[in-house]
Amino acid sequence: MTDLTLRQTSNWQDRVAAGVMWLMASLVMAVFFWLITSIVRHGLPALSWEFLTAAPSNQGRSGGIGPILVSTLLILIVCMAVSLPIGLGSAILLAEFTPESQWYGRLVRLSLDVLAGIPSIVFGLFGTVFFCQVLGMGYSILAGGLTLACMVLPILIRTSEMGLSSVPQEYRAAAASLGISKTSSLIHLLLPAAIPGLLAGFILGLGRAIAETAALLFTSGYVDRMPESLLDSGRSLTVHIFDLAMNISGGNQNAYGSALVLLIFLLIINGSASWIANRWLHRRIIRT
Amino acid sequence: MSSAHPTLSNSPILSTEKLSLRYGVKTAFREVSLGLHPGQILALVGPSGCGKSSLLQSLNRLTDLIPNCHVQGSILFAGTNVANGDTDVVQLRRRIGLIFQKPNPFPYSIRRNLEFPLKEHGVKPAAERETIIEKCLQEVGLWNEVKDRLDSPATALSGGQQQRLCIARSLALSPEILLLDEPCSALDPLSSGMVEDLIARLRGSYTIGMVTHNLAQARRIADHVAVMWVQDDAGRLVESGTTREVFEDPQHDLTKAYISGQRG
Repeated sequence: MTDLTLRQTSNWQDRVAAGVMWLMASLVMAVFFWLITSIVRHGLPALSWEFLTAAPSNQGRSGGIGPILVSTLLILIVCMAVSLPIGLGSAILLAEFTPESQWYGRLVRLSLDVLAGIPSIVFGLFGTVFFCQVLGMGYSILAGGLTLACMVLPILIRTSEMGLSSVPQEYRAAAASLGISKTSSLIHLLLPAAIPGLLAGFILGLGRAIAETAALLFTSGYVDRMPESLLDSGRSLTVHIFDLAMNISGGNQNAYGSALVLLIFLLIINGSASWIANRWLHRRIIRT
Repeated sequence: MSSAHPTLSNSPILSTEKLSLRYGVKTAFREVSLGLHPGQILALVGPSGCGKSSLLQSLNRLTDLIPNCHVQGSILFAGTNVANGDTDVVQLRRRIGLIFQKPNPFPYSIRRNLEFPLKEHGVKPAAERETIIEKCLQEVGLWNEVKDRLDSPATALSGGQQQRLCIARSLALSPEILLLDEPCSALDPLSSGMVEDLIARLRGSYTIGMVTHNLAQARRIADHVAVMWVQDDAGRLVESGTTREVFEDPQHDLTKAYISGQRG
């Protein structure tokens, strides 16, 4: 009899706890769906091939986002082309060559963690002074991409380092005991095994770069013409959305359209990354 | 039993002289002088934490991987002191292989587990590599079990098969010395027996040093036994000799207590 009462009590508590958790989770989901449906509902009518390719006209109220997509892409390419090799190199140095206890490694890790927490507007100001003025790049795609690279690097390095550190220590010991050089075990064993982690770092970095607005306002500028070189000013998708939403009355329709395009980009990047990590790369390390 | 009549006249192929090792301020073992005789099996026995594994791993300088690890004394191998900083550890480890307690095949196919170290050490012709791979897998008694699935993942093998694969992987480099760090203790009794038989079969072809917690195993397959113990917070070598000497006529009180099961 007592047993039964006890069981009922704990059941009741479990049910309440589960209910509360469901409620919390549904709230998060609700916000997410509200955001998505709002963007899709308002943005979908604006979306067309014309919208993706044409140049904006009437300050963006009409026309498309062709040049803006090109500028965004160029900024991302500059950013990733610079930050990937530096990021990977630093991550390898930190994970494989600097023990946790060494002061040098600790200092680098600490500064990276501080850098990762700095608001993007500060990076923007730094970029304006250093890349635009001191190095004389002016408002340009190059300056914007390089500023983004500085911003993305801390995240990229720390996640890649974690990816490498999560490779089992036994692999390193096994490789070393077979007289395999550090370089070879890095290339053939540790890096391939770390690829899911490295990819996660790349995606996080790319996601942060593509979503960035503040740092680009000051560095790559506002110009919405088709860029002719990396030294041209170019408006990124986020800056375009910001401008349409804040400064241009009657620009809401195209702002929603651009936001939807940005959202689709992010979904494609994330989706393909997890697909690659799960299938292709898993097979690759086993086979080759 | 061949282990009862080891040829003691052979001079050791590798010997340590007053070898000490510490991790930071913690001394793992102190002033160990010991020799490995060609073609014979030396078993390192003693209670946990007495520095057996550290000693074994210091012999091919694998302890270099551990930060803050300091070695003193000398390890004489092939006419040089390989404990020196300027030894080419890549070549050293090719000549002195090491097998770990937990089997650690690479996350590759069975074939590539052996192919990778061979390629790394410059065995270029594919046909030559294939021959070595088959020979080594046969040597460890794995060939018939895996010959039809050489391209399937090594991690899908059983624990005992993985351990034999790891031994084959080391043998592929034709080492002079094979060090085994409790190679059977992570395995089920059946696999453990197979690996033990394999080690016994390798006697004569390779010089073997193995750490074991299993005194009966040491007695069954070793030619020489070295007993280590923790004294003054550091591992010390208390006694070493032929298996018969150590088990039948131990000199040290700790050895007597240990082999009779009263301590350790």
